[in-house]
Amino acid sequence: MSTLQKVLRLRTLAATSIGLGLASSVYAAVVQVGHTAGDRYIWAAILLAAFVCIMAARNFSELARRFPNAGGVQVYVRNAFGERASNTVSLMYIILAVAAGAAEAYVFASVLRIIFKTFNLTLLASFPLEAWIFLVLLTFLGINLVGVSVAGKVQELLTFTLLVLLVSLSVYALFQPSSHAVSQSARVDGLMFTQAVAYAIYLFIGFEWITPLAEEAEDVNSLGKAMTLAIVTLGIAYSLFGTAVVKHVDTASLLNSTTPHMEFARLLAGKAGIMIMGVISVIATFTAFNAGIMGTSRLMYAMAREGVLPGFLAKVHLRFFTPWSSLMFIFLLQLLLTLFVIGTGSFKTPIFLAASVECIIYTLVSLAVLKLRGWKNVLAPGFTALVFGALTVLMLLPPTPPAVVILLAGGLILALAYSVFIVPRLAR
Amino acid sequence: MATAEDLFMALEQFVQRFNANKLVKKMVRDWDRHIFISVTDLELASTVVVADDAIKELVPGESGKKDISIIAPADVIIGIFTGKLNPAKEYAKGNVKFVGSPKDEMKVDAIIQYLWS
Repeated sequence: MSTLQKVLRLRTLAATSIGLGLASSVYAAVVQVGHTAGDRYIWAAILLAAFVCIMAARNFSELARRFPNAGGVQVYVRNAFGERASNTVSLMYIILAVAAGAAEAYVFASVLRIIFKTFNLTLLASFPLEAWIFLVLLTFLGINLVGVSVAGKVQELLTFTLLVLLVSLSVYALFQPSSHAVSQSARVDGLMFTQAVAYAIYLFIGFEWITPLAEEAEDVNSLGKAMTLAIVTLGIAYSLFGTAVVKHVDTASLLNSTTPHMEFARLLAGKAGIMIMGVISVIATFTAFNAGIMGTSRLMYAMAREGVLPGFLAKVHLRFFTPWSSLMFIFLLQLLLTLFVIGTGSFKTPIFLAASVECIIYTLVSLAVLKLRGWKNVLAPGFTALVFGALTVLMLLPPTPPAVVILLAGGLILALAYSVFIVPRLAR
Repeated sequence: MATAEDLFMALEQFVQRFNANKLVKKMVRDWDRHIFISVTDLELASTVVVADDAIKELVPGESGKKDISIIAPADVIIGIFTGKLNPAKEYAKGNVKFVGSPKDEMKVDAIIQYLWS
């Protein structure tokens, strides 16, 4: 009797879990966390966010052991709350991926322009930001249409390289003298600090995307360990980076920058800093963006094949065998969202949107654990559900732009209405 | 409950339909694979050998090479290979397991989709 090959080791799982959290758009969120928590407490807000994400990871780990198959979160929610809730969660993941992808395209396009300006590539630097965003999205559409993917070993190497570069730069910055005095406000505003923790959830985005790999893991228990390892690693890396940033510059001065990491690198090491951070950004965007688009297009394809999404999204390219119609659809959604972001001038809208969707998903997964446990041993998952429920509410309070509330409410209502009214008709 | 005979009849039908479909044969151009099918409840196995743009043979048991493995109970395997069950739905429910590259997974699903649509 054949069984699945158990090939994925803890290291590969952890590298994959870290992957999405190492995106270029994360640095704007780090600055937002520092500004909201108070620069002095940036590390505490990031580490507290890491702690609550570990609580969420425990729930994912329990469910992955219970349902070790490729369906992941959709299967957990289906078993706890039924088909409609499962479809709604899948649609929320699509909203999350589109929002995170739009943020990444916007930030990466801005990074490219800074690199071109710094190295006097005037012709390239003269193209408007919109053109670069379009090109970035188009490039990743092309890469995914052709079906270029990062192999497990390469993913491990890229993740390790990124972490070493990021931590080295942060440690170097921490040991450099600074004329800037970190704001030493005596009191911490509890509400603002908790809101900063909510914003910091974006730094760990997608750590749970390894749960569909449960069948292929050497040991299903290693999934939980890999998620915890990934969250701890990201938590340490970003709290070091955040602390290094606030040592040299006031986060208020970087708050409106799409690329605070590039500005910080320039301040620290001039052109060399831009070069190093540019390399970090290129690798980060390539790994995070590619994995995000590939995963989402396959999710959309599978949903279309299941009859949950319209059939035209299940078209497969007959040469490359990639889900071309789903990829085109994601490209259009991301383009529309980035145009909306440019129109409103609030580039953090997709970041806040993605983080709030993630908080809602973590709340739902905690509730799924409670339901599947038969409402017994409720303390840990119940507390996690309450924490993420509260973080979702805090995420939507000012200074979060009102556009986030509108997009989130609209997205959720549409996803729910689609699951309740449209999916049964498609199934017929 | 399905029997071994039902299973091999379903696979034979699939092979005939596959080899008669021009589009599907075009889809497997330069795609030589050994697709291992493991039937969990009957403790049976079979290998579909795809070579030279067609299914060359249906080998009982293992052929010595497994590029792709499909693992499921007999009813699910028969349902999928006769177009009565949706592989994506069965996969999402955890009723069928697939071992292979994501690209091969997409290709097998696309072949079944085009064959029965």
